[in-house]
Amino acid sequence: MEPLIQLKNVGKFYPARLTSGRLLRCLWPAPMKPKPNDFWALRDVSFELKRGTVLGVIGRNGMGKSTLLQLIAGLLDPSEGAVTVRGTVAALLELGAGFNPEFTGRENIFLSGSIYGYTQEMMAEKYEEVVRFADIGNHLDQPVKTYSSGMFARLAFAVAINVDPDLLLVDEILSVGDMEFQSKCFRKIESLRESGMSILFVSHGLDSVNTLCDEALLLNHGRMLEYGKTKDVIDSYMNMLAAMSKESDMAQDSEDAAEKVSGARAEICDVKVINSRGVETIHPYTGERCRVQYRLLFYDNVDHPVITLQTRTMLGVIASDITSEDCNQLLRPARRGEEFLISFEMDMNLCPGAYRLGVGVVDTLEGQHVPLFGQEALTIEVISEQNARGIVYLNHSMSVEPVNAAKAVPGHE
Amino acid sequence: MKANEKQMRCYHRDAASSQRMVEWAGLSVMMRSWRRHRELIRALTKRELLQRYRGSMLGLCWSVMNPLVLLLIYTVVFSTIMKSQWNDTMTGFGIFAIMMYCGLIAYNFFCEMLSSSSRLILDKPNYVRKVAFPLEILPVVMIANGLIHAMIATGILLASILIVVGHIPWTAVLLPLVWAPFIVNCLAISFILSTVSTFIRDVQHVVGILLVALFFLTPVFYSSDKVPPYLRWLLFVNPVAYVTENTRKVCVYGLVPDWKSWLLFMGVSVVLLYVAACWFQVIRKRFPDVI
Repeated sequence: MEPLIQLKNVGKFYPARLTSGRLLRCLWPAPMKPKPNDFWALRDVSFELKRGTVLGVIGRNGMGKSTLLQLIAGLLDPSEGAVTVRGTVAALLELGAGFNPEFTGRENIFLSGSIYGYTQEMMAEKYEEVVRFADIGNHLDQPVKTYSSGMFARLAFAVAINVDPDLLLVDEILSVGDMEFQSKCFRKIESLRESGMSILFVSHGLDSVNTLCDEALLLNHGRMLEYGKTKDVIDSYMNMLAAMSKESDMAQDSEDAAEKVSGARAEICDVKVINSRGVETIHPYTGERCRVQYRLLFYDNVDHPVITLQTRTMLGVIASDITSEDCNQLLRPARRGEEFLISFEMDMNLCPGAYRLGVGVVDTLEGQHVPLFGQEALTIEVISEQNARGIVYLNHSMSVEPVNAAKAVPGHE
Repeated sequence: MKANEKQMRCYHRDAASSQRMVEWAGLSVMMRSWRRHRELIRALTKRELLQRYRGSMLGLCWSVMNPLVLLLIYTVVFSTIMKSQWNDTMTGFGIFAIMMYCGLIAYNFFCEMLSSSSRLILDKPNYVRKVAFPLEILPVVMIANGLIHAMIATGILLASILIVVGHIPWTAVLLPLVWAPFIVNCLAISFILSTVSTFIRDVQHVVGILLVALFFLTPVFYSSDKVPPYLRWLLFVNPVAYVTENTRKVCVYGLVPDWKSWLLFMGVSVVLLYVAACWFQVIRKRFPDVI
C-alpha cells in the first residue's frame, strides 16, 4: 500500500527581514530565492508514514515541529522538495481555529464541518456524535465566545476527531481540558488508530509521546536528527537535552559563583538523578530505582547538619519530604571547607509528569531547623508506559471475579 | 459508502512545480473550488449577513431600514428643501432622489467591496495559518453579501419609481445584465486588492482617499451629460459610472443599454478576472510568510 504521507527533501525558509523591497518583491510571481541570512525553518526532511501509524514529533521550541505540521496540512508550500498526502487531513494546529466566536457551538459545528469539506447533510449525521463527545450540555446554544477554554477545546476536538480524517495532525493541544476529557481523547485516538487512521503528534510531553506513538521523529534546528522507534528516539533526545543542560550549566556556573548569597554557609552542586542503568537522566521511568546524588560543601562550621530532599509537583504539592534524620543518619559536625557526596536511593513511584526535586541542608539548634542558604533544585520528568494519573504510582493491579450469576435485584426490574 | 462521499483531499506539493511563474489554469482551478465549496460559500454568506445585525433588536430589518431611511432623507433634502432638478427633461417631485439613489446602490456596493477587500485576508490570520481554508472563496462571499444588500436596495428603488413615476419600464428586467460585468469586475478587483493589501498595508489608507474621490467622480448626484467632454474618459474607466448610467437607463428612462459598450466592459472584466485569478494562485503561497 502506498504511504499516506511522503516527504522528500523538504525545506521551508522564511525571509529574515521583511523590508519594503522584499514585500514588493512578493507581489511579483517569479519564485522567491532565499537570501543567505534567511531562516530555514526546515531542511532536508524526508520520511514516509504508513496508514494507521502514530508518529510523534519531538524537539525543543523553534526547531521546526510546527512548520512540519503546517507543510503536511497543506497550509504552507515547501520551498524545496515535495510533500505528498493521500487522504483527508484534519489539522488541529490550534483548537477551534475555524470557529467564529460570535456564533453558537451548534452553528460552529456545521461551519467547521464545511471547512473540512462536509455537506450539511453529512454533518447532520455526525452531529449527534460530536455533541455526545464534546459533552458540554446546553452551552451548545451559546456563542462560543462565552465558553471557557476547556469547553472550547472539547468542542473543537470533538469536531476534528469525528470527521473521520485519514490523518489527524495534533499540535500540543491535548494538554487542555481536564484529565477525564484527556483520557477520553486518548481512548478515541486509540480506537481511531485501530480503524486505520494515522496521527502525527507534536508534543513536549515525552510521556504522552511514549504511550501513544509507534514511531518518533526528532527535529533539531529544522533538520531530522533521528527517525525510528519511539523509545530509541526519546532516549537520544534525552541524551541531547542532558548534554545541553550540562553545557549551559557550565557556562552558568562561573556566573553563579560570583552571585552566590554571601550569607550562605553551605553550597550544593552537581545535583543529578542516576537511573537503574547507572546513566544520568532527567527522565526516570515510573517505578525505577534511582539515585539522587549531589555534592555538599560547607563554608562554615555546622554542628548538627541535616540534609533534606523534597519532591514537589509543578503545582507545589509536596509528594515526599525526607531528611537525613528520617534515614537515621545522624551527621557528625561539619568543619568549614569539608565536602561530601550525598546520595539518596529511591524508587520513583511517581505518576508520569514533571516534578521538582529540591535538595537542601539545614542546621539544627534546639530542635529547630536553621537554614544554611544552600539549596538547589532539579526538574525531572517521570515517564511511563503505564497509564496512571495523579501523583503517586501505587504499582497496582486489579482483578474482577464473578461472585454469583446474574439475578434480579429487588426494586430494579 | 462514506469514504466515497467524502472528498479525498489528495495533494502533492512540489517546490519545483510550484515555482512556476504563472499558474495558467488559475481561473478554472478557482471556479472548481467555488463549485466544490458552494455549501461553505452559502453558509458563510448567511453567517456574515446575520453577524452584521447580531445582537441588535430589529436584526435583519436593518438591511431594509437603512436604504429606506436614506431614500427618505434624500427625498426630503433634494426635493423639498433644495428643490434640485435632475436635468431639463427629468422634472418632478422625488425624481432627483430616485436618480441619485440609482447611483448610490452601485457606489455603496463598490465602496463596501473596496474597504472589505483591503482587510479580507489580513483580518483572518487563522484561515491562513491554522486551518486549510479555501481562501479563494472569501471574495465571493463578500460580493454575495454586497449583492444581497444591493438587491434589497434595488427593490426599494423600483417600489419608489412605481410610486413617483407611476410605472416601471419593462427594461428594468435587464438590470441583472447591467450588473453582470460589474460583478465580474468587482471580483477581479477584490482578488487583486486583498492580495496586495496583505503585503502592503498602506493600501487600506489609499482606499479611504480613493473612496472620497470616487464619490465625486461618479455621476451619483449629477447627470453624466453635465460632465465636460474632456473629462468623459473618467466615466469610461470608472466601472461604477457604467452601472449608474445604465441603471438609470433601464429603470427610469426605459431604454436598452448600449450593447457594444456592454460587451467591451464584460470582455475587459473577464480578462481582468482571469489575470487576477492566475496571479492570486501564485502569490497566495506567500501569505503565511507575512501574516
